[in-house]
Amino acid sequence: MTRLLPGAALGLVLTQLVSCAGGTVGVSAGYPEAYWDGPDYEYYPDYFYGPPVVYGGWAPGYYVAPPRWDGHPHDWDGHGGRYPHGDGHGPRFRPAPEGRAVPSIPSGPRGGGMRGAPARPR
Amino acid sequence: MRRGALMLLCIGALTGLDSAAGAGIEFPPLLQPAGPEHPGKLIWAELFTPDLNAAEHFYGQLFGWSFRDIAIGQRAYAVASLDGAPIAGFVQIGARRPGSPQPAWLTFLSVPNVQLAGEAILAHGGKELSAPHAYRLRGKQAVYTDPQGAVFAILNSHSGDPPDVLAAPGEWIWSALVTRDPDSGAAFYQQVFGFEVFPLQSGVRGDHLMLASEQFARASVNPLPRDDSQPHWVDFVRVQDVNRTAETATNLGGRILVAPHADRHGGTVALVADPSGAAIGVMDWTETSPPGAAK
Repeated sequence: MTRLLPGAALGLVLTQLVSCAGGTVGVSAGYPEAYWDGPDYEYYPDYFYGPPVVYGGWAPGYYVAPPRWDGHPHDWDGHGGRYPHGDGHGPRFRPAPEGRAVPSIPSGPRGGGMRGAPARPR
Repeated sequence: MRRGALMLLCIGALTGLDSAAGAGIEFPPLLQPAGPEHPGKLIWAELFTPDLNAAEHFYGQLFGWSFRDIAIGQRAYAVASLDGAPIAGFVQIGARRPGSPQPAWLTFLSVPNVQLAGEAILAHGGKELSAPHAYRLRGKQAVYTDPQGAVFAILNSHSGDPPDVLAAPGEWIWSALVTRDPDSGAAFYQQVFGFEVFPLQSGVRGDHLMLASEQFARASVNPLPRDDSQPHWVDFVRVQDVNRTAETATNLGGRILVAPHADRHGGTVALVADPSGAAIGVMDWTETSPPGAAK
């Protein structure tokens, strides 16, 4: 037993070194120091002060879901004449190019790595 | 004897590693093993609730989530998982009273660089609510409002983002921004996240738009249906039967905010509130597009 004690002591020293390294640079996860701001002791989640949100009120036909992939190119002109605006101004965002197929949500099987619908050239 | 000393070494090593990990807040990584990032995707959400136990019971029963407590100082925090994979965080907030935070879900969108995205948010009229902060295993995150006041978070996950595959029941499947001016709202998120913006057909109250990245639909942008509300994000969990889920939600002490109804994907969506009032969407999604699906 006495012969083994120095080994155990060495192990404890090594343990502390590993511990310090882990606490400093996140060695166990392999992340560089700059990517961790150090230990935290509090999490401040008080984000929701302000006027309360009133949820709901979705009338029939008020759609929020994604479209299905149907392979059809989208058409801004067919969007009720909304874009470009009737007043001659375009939208504030940069519209997706005319003719690009409307994408849908990821639909591939787990582990399959299937991509979405390929972009369709104009 | 030799075996005993070896065991002593192992115990010492484990204790040391545990003390390093327990030096502060230690959120789990989003993915194990790590995977690629998917900028613009809903990859995490956190529920701020005054009753953590009630919330765990509600969502555990509703979606089959399980929970693990994490030490984050004065507040209680639990990580919700589905089949062992972290899917959301539950944060205890103070009891509801005038001026206290409203129970709500916070949407986390993936970004490749939190610092740069934060600068873009501020440059385009957003406001910072919580400065960028990196957590060792989870990644770097920050919380903002967009120019119209909707609260959202950005996260660069150290382990990459949940893969772009069809969400399983109980997983996040979709997000919707409900805002006063979808046109300028879409412009803001496009400037920050680089989304492509597509039109969506909807005959009610103004424009509905869609944000896409990596050739996938990521979120819809919709006009506020009520003038007395504030712009907000709503996240949707995939369920197999929206009607049954809504019924279960009410049986568990929740409320139906928007009754199950058909949407443009040819399926059904609903909006429910948990017992504390936080709103969450539920949506079904069949593997193949049904004939006559709404466009």
